[in-house]
Amino acid sequence: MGRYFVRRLLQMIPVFFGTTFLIYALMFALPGNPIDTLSRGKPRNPAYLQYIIDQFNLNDPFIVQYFKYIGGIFTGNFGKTFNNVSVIDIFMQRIPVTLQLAATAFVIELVLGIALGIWTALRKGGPFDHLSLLATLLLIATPIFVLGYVVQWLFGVKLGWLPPAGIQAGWPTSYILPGFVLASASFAFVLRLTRQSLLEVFGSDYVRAARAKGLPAWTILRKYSLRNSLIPIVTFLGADFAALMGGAVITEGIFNIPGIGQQLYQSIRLHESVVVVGLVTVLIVAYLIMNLLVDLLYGVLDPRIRYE
Amino acid sequence: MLRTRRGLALVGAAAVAALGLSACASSSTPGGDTTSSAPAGGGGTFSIAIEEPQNLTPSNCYDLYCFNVLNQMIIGIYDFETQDDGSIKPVPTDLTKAVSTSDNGKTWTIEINPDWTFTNGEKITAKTFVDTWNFAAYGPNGQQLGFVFGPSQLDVVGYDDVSDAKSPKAKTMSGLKVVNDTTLSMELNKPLGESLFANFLAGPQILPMPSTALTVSGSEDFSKQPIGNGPYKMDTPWTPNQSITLVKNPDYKGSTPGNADQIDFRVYNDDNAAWADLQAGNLDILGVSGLPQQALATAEQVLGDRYVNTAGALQFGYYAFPQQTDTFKNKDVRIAIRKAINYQDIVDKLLYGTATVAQSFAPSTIPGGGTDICGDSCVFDAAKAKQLLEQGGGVPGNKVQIASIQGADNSVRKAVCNQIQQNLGVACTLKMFPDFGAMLDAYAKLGAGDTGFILALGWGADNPTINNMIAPLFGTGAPSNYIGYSNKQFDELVARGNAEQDPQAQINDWLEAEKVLYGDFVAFATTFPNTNYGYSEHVSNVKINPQGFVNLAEIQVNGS
Repeated sequence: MGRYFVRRLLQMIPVFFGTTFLIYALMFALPGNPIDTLSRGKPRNPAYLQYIIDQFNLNDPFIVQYFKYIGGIFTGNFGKTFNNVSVIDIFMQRIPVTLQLAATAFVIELVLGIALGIWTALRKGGPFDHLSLLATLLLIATPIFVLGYVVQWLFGVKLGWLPPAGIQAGWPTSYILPGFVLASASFAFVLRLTRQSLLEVFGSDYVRAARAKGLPAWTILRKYSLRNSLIPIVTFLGADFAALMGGAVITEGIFNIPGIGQQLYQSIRLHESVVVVGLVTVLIVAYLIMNLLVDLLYGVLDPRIRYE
Repeated sequence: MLRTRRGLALVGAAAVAALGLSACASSSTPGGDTTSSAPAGGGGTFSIAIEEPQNLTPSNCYDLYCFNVLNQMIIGIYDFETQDDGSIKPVPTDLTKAVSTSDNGKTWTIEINPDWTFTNGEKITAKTFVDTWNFAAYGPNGQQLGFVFGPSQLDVVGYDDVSDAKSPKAKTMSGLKVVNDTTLSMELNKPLGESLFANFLAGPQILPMPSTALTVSGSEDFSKQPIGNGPYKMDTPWTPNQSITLVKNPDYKGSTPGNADQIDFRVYNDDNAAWADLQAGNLDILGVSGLPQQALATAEQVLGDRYVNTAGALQFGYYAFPQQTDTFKNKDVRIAIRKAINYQDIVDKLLYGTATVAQSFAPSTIPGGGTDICGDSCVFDAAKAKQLLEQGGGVPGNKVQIASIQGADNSVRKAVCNQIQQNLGVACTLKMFPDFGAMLDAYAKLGAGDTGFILALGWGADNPTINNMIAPLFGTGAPSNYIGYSNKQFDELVARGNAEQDPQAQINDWLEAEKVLYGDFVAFATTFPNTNYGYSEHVSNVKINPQGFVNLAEIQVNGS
């Protein structure tokens, strides 16, 4: 178990180099150049351009730029944006915001998804089951920006229950609407997945036997069915949490949440390689850690799974 | 950020000038009026939506947003004031005692009032200005606005010696001298008319900075929490991408102290979110760069008389034809394309009346603007357009392409394309580029045999002069002359106008230059956006001028 854990952690090192290199190369290959984009078509002071070129090694060949960047990282210098904000500062500001948003969405999809999934599985074929099928299909089919604007308008502007944008009101008030929108598609998946997975377990021999022995329905659910049906759900949720962090570009845009997604979008447009590489690397590490946690959770959920 | 007002233009406005602190701004009593207090009903807090400012160092402030902030914090030599007829004019600030020229615009003497200090206690003297400007112009400091001291604008003697990015010959401009504690002199290579000189001295680049800010790292620290002499100050560093909070400066010496106790600038990356916040009452003012296009349809209905829509923002969209290819070689063809576009229709239906069709490059809110220079060539006439196209030999492949940028709002360009297709019977498509830089690269690489595409560009003026509407875009070798236009007659007329001391003669020269430009018809202005904005019931006396500068100090918070 311990060796397995260490091996998994060590695996992250080549992944780190691989991704930084790939993302850096992709940023480098983007058409257009940062200088033109940065100055937004206004007269450019040649001295300013030279300053930016020197600061960001823009005249160096790609491979030199990349190693200067990696060298910087090992001396604790993660680089800065063209506006002179250090990437570390951006991390410190944006990662907590994104984490709060992702956590809100995660809790919504986890609690609502699993709870409603259990309910629909228990009441299979009932009116609520049919209604939830319709509702989840609708949620999955609705593009996130449509849902985002509708929810913002209805609950934020029209009814005025929650702030329509920004994070001034703090957690959780400001994060409920965007959290719900961000969670919507995954919530529907979790619901369907829980229902399906539970129904499968309900049909298995040991559950039938437990039922035949006259165990209460609640005990069957808690001790025999739910735990066994959780494996596919945990797999999905683990991957999803990492995706929630990086994939909130649209939601963060609609609700003006200053998180990672928004910064990535901006930085890609401005060709700020160091910011993009830094943030994507953080996201990838988050993804790897979530994957590791999921794998470890398998062992907890199903003692038959062992790691060497 | 590349999107501007109502999606008209590709280029963001980097307007560089001050808002009308108006009314008392022209008084120049020595020392200012220290006893004036806020009018009755002052106090309170209000919020205003902005986009992320690039930088809050004056000499690096190249967008509307940072200047709206800085303008409340730092007082310089000139400020823009909105006149009764709605036009904008630079006037001396409270800090300025007198500005005069001894030899018809070549040498200028600027006198300032004594006893002004920064909020850190440092005294503001003539040396403060000279040092700040030398810092801005010094090449290795890499300041974005250093160029205003160079040949394209002020052209101070000795600029060339300091502007080199690597190894400048000198550290200071020889044309800039401290005469005594309160007087400085500026010598220019070319004479400038008084009004143009004043316009050049009304942007952020001339705002004074304390000595601690005058190194590269000092200026970076300054940008996190600027120190000034204005009606408002920043008590704690601002939070990038979230908010900037200004509070009243109790030590302010000028005659126009702010009304509200506190101003919250809120950063929005999507102006639709700001629009939702405004409707829900969570935001007080929206529209520094116009209301979002989605809001235009319902703004009047939602906001009533708190929605303002007035003609003549200092911006325009323009189309330019490539000259290095043969595609649009014939002038009749170029005019045919303009005549095939019914801009009034687009303004009415797509922009909800929030723009004015352009007949020149200068909107009605600037001196000499709003003149009909283009005449019949810019009047929509489908039949005539078709006839002109045939007369000019058509376009190769019967195809026209208009450059567009992915992710920008291309609805207007699409409508234009449809009209060209319909009215001229040629195929019209949008040629997509990932960003502005890529578009210009492709344009610059066009050779004689290539199929040319029309550039659809926008311009946000730095100051309210016809000069700034045409010279940076069409002067030979000018910094934003992307189309490579060069016409000696045009250059001469612009230069003659620049040096003219009589304002009317100056305007006439520039109008002549515009006529030359339209005579060649390699580019035409499309529309001038309106200035439109909205505000909440929480505030009153909100005014945003055609440059996008908000009268923040004058805004009244209701019920406080």
